[in-house]
Amino acid sequence: MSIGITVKKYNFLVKYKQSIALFIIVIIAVILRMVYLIQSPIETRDGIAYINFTHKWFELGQAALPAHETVPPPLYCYLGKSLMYCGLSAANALLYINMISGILLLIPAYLIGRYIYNDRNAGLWFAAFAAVMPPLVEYSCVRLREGLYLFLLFWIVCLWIMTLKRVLWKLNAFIIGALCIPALYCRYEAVEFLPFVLVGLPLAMLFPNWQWKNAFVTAVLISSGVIVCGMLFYILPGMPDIFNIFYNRIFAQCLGTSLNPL
Amino acid sequence: MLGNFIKSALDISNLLWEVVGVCLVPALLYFGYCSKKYWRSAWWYVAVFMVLFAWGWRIYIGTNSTRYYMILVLPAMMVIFHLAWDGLKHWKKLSCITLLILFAVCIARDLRYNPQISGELSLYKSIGQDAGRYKQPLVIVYKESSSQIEYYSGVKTVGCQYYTDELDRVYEGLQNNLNVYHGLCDVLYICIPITKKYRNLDEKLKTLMPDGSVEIFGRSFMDRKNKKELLVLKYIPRKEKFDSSRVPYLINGDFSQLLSGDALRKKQEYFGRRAPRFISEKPSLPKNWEIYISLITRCNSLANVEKRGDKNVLRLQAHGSYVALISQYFEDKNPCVVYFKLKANSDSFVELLRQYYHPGIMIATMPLNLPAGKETEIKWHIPSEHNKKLRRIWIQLNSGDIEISDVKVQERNF
Repeated sequence: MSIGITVKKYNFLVKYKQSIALFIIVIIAVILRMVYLIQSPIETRDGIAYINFTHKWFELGQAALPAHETVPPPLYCYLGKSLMYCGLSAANALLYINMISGILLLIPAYLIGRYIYNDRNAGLWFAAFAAVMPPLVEYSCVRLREGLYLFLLFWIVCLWIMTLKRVLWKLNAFIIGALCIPALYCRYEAVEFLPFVLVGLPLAMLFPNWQWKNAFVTAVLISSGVIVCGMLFYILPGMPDIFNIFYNRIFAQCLGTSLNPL
Repeated sequence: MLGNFIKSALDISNLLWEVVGVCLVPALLYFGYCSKKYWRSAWWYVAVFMVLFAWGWRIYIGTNSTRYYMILVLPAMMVIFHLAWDGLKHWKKLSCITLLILFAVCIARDLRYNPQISGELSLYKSIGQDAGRYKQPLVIVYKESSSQIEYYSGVKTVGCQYYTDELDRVYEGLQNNLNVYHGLCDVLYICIPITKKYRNLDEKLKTLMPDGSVEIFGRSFMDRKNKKELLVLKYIPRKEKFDSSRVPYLINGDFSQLLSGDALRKKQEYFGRRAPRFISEKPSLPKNWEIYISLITRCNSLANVEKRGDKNVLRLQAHGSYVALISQYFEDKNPCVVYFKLKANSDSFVELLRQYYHPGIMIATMPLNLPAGKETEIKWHIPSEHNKKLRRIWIQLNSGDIEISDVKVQERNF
């Protein structure tokens, strides 16, 4: 009798055991990252460059730097600059972005494992693997763009798999397209995502069952995501700054023109 | 392209993490074995397409840094996890043990403590504290990056572009030359990373200046295995006599002889894209000097000989990343001293370099940060070059606007 009552009392533990396990994994991930941070107090060379860039951007109000200084892809520093309005220092703002990205990355990791193997336990183990994986821990604790970039990458891949599994696939296809733009503003090399999702996903949708309609709809939705998010990056307040930097860094070198000639 | 492909394939394990690299081999073999079964699944497309595309893209754009390959960490994780998870069906015990070992190794790596980091950090901070006693401190860093020292010490830092861990070369470049910084700073800290074979050379380093006033400020190991050490020297620059009374034997050091129109055109044709663009409509360049710009990045460097009173000066301007270079060959292996006057019209960054031939070695010597309006006289000691007969000096302008005048070379009498 008493055993029966006890089981009933803690029935919610059984019901939410997956969520509780994921929560425990998140706690372990946070602890590991905090320990790593305490042990590695010296910032990397590029991290210091980003801190200085963000600090100057916040102080000057614009991100116009001399041409001979390397200008990183601006999204990470832009987010850091925005957080500085909350009273944070540039170093802390950039660190928090990566810390939060590194922790939230466990959600797409869980979903990747879950949807690949159709097994929630696989999702949990994959999330645990991501929680302890040293490169991921490292990039959560330094002020480099990779923390944010990996977060976006995990989400893009996760949504990719969910789309192929027909889980909210229309919405996911649109979001994938939209995520490509911040990824591109986070690392120049992320331009590879565009052909990867624009061509790769419709092809994958097409091939298994030859569903032309699904492939076409996916391609249209991804493209719409890219266009809408690209326009938002230009229209939203403060975002033209990002566009100008990106244009000057990438396209102006190819075209021989500049929006802000020095 | 093929070479890059093979090299990056071999480097993958280093670029991600050695343990990942080792686990990838059986994981990829298993994945290949299973792929026949999975060719219709989403998993197969995601992993293979992503890996090949990301890898190919990086090879195409020619990146070799760990950070650029970070995208591969996800597919690597997926393949390794697949081996462990899918293997559970067939070899339950082995897979469990493998998974546990993998997790343990990962956590051990995360918690690995590098005791040298705190020592290095406290060395940077102690530079900052000591420099606080002076008005105009300066740190020269012979290291890949100087930004960490500047960030943690709070002292103005100048990094040396050409990194070398050969202490002999750094020593040769600095010997007798630290007074170049007189007027640019009132205390000088020199940070030199040294490898194991150059340990216990304290006495030699103390003789960098003839008066023996160089002291070792501090040192700290930079890695866990104590293979590399950062050595910090301290020196207070003094004014050195600028003795220009002796007979100079450098040809056209006062820039009085200019290239004729025809010779100028030929020189421009010879240098092609590297030829400097000119400040005035009537360009004039000095004879016996080679002046050209870097091809590394796009820039608008300018050079011209201009009149300042009754003498000529060579004006160099570098807009953009790099570089106006000026050099002259010396066919003499005896030690000598190069004198010249340097004036900065705007904030400028100049490096004084020496170059050997056979084999061609560029030796970093003196990085100088000159504020606008600063006029300084440089006395630059060039040691004997042993068997290397042909050599030349470079005055390299990385950014800013400078005027060079009265270049003289004399034999050193000590």
